[in-house]
Amino acid sequence: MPAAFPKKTASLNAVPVTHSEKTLSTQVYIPEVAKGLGQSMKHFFKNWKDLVRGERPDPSTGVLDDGITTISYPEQKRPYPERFRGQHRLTLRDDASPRCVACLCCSTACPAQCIFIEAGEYAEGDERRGYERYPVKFVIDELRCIFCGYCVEACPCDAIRMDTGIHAVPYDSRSQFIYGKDLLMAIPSRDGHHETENPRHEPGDPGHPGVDRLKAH
Amino acid sequence: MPTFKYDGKEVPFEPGESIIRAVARQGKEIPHYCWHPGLSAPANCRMCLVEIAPAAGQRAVTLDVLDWDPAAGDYRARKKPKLQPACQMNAAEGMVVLGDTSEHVKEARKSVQEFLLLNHPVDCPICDQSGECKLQDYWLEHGQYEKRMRDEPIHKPKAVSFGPTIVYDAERCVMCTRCIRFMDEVAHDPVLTMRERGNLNEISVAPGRELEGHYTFMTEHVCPVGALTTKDFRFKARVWFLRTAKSVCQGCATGCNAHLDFDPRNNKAYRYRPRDNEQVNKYWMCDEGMLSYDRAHKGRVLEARTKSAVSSTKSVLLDAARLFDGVPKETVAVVFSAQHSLEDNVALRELASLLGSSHLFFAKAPDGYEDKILINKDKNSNTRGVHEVASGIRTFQEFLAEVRSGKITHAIALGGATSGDAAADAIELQALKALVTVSAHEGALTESAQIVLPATSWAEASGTYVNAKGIRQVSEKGIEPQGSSRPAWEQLAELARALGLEPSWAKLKEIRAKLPVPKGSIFPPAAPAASPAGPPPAAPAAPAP
Amino acid sequence: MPFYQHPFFWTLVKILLLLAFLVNVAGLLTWVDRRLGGVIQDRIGPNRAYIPLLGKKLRVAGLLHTAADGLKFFFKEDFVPPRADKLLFAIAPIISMFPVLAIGAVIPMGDTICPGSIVGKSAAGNTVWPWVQRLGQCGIETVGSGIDAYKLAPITLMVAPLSVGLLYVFAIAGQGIVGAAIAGTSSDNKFSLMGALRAASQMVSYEVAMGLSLVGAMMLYGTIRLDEMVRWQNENAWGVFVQPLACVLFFVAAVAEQKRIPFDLPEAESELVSGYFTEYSGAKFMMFYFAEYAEVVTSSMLLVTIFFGGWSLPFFHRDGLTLAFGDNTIFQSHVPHIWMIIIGVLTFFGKTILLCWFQAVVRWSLPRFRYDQLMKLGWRVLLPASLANILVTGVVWLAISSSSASTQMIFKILGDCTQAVVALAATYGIIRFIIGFFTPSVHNPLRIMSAQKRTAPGGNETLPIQT
Repeated sequence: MPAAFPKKTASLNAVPVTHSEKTLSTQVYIPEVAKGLGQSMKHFFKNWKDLVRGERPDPSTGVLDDGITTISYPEQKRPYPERFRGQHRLTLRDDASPRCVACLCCSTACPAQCIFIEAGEYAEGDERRGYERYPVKFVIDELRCIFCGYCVEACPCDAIRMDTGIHAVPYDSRSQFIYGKDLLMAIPSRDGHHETENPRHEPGDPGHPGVDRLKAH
Repeated sequence: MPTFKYDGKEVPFEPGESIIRAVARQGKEIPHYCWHPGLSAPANCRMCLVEIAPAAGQRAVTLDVLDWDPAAGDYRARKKPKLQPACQMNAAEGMVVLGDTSEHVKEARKSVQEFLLLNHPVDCPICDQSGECKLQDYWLEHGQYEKRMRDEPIHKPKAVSFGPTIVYDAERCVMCTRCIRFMDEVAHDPVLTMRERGNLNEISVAPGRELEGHYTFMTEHVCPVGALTTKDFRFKARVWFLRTAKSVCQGCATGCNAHLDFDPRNNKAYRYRPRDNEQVNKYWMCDEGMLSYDRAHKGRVLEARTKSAVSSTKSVLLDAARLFDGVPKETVAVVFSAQHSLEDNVALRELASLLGSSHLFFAKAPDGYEDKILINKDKNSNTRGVHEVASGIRTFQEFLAEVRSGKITHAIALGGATSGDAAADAIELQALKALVTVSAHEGALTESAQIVLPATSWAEASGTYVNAKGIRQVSEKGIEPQGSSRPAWEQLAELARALGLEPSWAKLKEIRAKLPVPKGSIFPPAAPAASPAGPPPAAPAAPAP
Repeated sequence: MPFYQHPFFWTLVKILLLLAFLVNVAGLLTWVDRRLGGVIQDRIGPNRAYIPLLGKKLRVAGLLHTAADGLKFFFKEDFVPPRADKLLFAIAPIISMFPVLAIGAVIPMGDTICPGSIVGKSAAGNTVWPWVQRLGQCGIETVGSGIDAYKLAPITLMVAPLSVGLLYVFAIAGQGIVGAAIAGTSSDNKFSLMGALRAASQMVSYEVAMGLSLVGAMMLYGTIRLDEMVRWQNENAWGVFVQPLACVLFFVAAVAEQKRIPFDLPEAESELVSGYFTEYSGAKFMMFYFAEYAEVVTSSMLLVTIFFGGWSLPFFHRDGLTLAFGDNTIFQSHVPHIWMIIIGVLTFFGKTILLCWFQAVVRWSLPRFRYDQLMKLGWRVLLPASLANILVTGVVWLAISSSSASTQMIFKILGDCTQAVVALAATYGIIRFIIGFFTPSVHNPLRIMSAQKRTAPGGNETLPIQT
């Protein structure tokens, strides 16, 4: 006769908890206490000495060292890695206009949907008319931004970068987090320039070799 | 029906039909740029090349080609079959056609793709077509090569204004000549042509002319790439943000099928694209219709209001109840609208019968331009529908006459537009003691109404419209209702409740069940038990204003 | 009689001295506790409070936190729960503060001063700093001559030279329970009540073990006066050597009495918010808080007095340095009485501070006991152990005191050896400490790219490390 409630087999998925072995010294407790106190004192004497002598390990290079590696934040900052994604900036061309062509690739790629762009056409007679368009408005809501850097990856013109080394700033009102085009264009990179190293082929460039209809004749 | 084999599958065809059309009917696409089902086939893009197996007992047509052999350091002669353009080649019984399964076809497609993109500026970031561009699609499907040309591409004119509506970019053009053929064959205005040859080939407008008329938007629509863009949509939105609803154009009684493209993020309609329907508009729409998408936002009634102030729907309904309190039913009239859907008009009919009113009139916008291609004189989308809803329905002029004579003092109206001069009509309507108008758009009827209730436009609610041919078509909901607007049939039910009546409809399903039996065909064909498409009733010739 | 001859004056001075020490050290302990915890855990610890001074931030290694905390307590709202018992709620912190301060009354801070032997005149008329005899008490002495002559009584360096000594300590220490219990019950708060219950039962349990653990010491020393105990230790051997088990038991019981980690169940934050003083704020909370630290100091003082030789140093006696094992005197040097007094007081305070530090280390090292473990430890380990200690002590003491003179001399030499051990250990510790301090630390900085970029243009220059 089968059992009404068949016994469940123990799940073999579980990892058994390992307990440290109970020996006499651990049971007596006193030696373990002494060990613990010794450990505390070791740290105390070493760190105290470092503090008094000013020999603390460097908080940035000595993160894996023994000792106090605290960074006193507002005064000291951990050096940001070279590819740290900070505040956005809009890169500029030589004539200080934004490189952005308002293709909306960044706002498409943005998982937080924090980029708003309104595209505009260059005025009649501008040599870029027809070749390019430009952002009439370029707004980033830094409060919604998650600093994933997808916008930088998506940009086909290297127009938006996050190489400013500035990290998200606290403000006291939401409206202050709405960064407009002018502000984004005014932020320099870590190295202090507003351009990028990647050259850009402009239709008006002297080296622009194209053959047009009239030249061909 | 005779058949041929395409990639091993039997494809039926009608005699004299091209391979590409027969295959397209089966829902399979042979890549193409220049072919368009509504236009002639010039076979100049060479994208649709297919391999046709030689008939039994016949020698294969081959080409001698030289292949570079890097191992030998020399060219090597090879034979390969001569490919045929599927858009020109008529299908024949028992023909064996190879498309995707043929290595030669694949190679040809890749080469054609490379050739077309040779001088392309690849300015997809700023191109309005990107996202729905055939060059992009086919490069992904059939290209996937690295650009080999290291020279500067040829530069050609950009942002050339072809007329009031269209901008041309010669660098992006693949010279498929679809726009030229459209103007020639459909619009019958051969204003576009081609100039120069080879790399410098470009489209131009006939000297002394501009690209203008009633069908210029279609040149942009047929353009498979971003060469032609409309000034209206230029740089407004990226197409991948847009969602589409299967809509019906409200511009005239033709009822062209259209895709309404809208951005759900800001609840805004951006453009119309024609939706293929052989029975109504084939593949085309007129310029006025293409631009009529903006009626989803322009001239709208968005908030409930009384004569004096904008107010909430609830308080406005209380006012309406006060106005209609103790009014004898002989003095109450209802005015149907040829611009609102069947559902809205049926709801009004039901309300009229609840009120016991027998004075039924209808209002419509005045007639306008007409041509033999698509544009109908009647500028209302549902004139036929109104006549289907109720019989013995009288014109707006008769309504005004009754008002003048004082027989009618109270009215409930649908829609804002009237057939006469809007200002004059509005003054005449002042004679009414009470006019409650449920409308999506402003007009004389809303201007002189004591109470205005906001209704959704065709873009915000599903509705049924009957076009001039008597074809009943359903337009899908696109954007969300704006302001405090609701479907007119819902507003009418609210109004009925406010007047102390019990409406028999509360859901779209219930109001749909009350629609009159269709006299024409239905599109899309919903129920198989549609009544046979008899000749349209004699009546509906629009009364002269 | 000038005012300084009045016994009341000297009592006042002693009270001030004791209180000054107690309050300052307890106050410092609040800083030490947190700073030491930080340093043990490889952190910096509190160092942010500062006073702006000449455009600089004066931080004094975070010491200002103590001052800031005190200020904060005084300016905080004195919150009383609406349904609390107002009177009991108000006096509870006073009750718990009182015994801590009162215990200090019987603790000797130094040897008895013989005022007449401090300054003397040599035969030539020069001022001399005489030394006093090693054994024996100084009596009432007459100083000066003629009209200026007055009598001087010896000044014991205890506030109250009570003959009941240790009994007074137990009597007063028992009052601590009352404060905690009243605080918890009057707060109208479940957590407070549970904290009070825990506190009361825990303190009652450990009171027993604490009292019994000292019985052995009393038997050995033959007195319950604390200054007599110190003298016995000075002459023979420190209590920690003759009563090692009692020392441990007393220490454990004392920590439990203070309700500090690992016995902080009455105020276990993770369970009871703050235990019996959950509802307290402002100055009342400060009194509880301060009482805890003052208790650390007084318990350290008691430990020092009973087990660590009080004011005495190895081989230093009333008459100076005498390096002797049994009867074999190796080196002897007399030290003026005034110096011996000063050394004694400093020694006592030094030992106390050392033990306070040790208690802080214990607090940051051990995890909290479970409540049943706490009770088991109290009743099933400490109590039997202290009883056994009494028995063994009695038997051994009887055996020794009834043994021959030569055997007793061996024990006397052994006792002197313990003094030598302490002296050597202390010397070694100090030398080791100094050497260790001047050995530079070895660091292995990670050479990672971003760190190298730190000083590059646009990198973030690190500022000098704040301590």
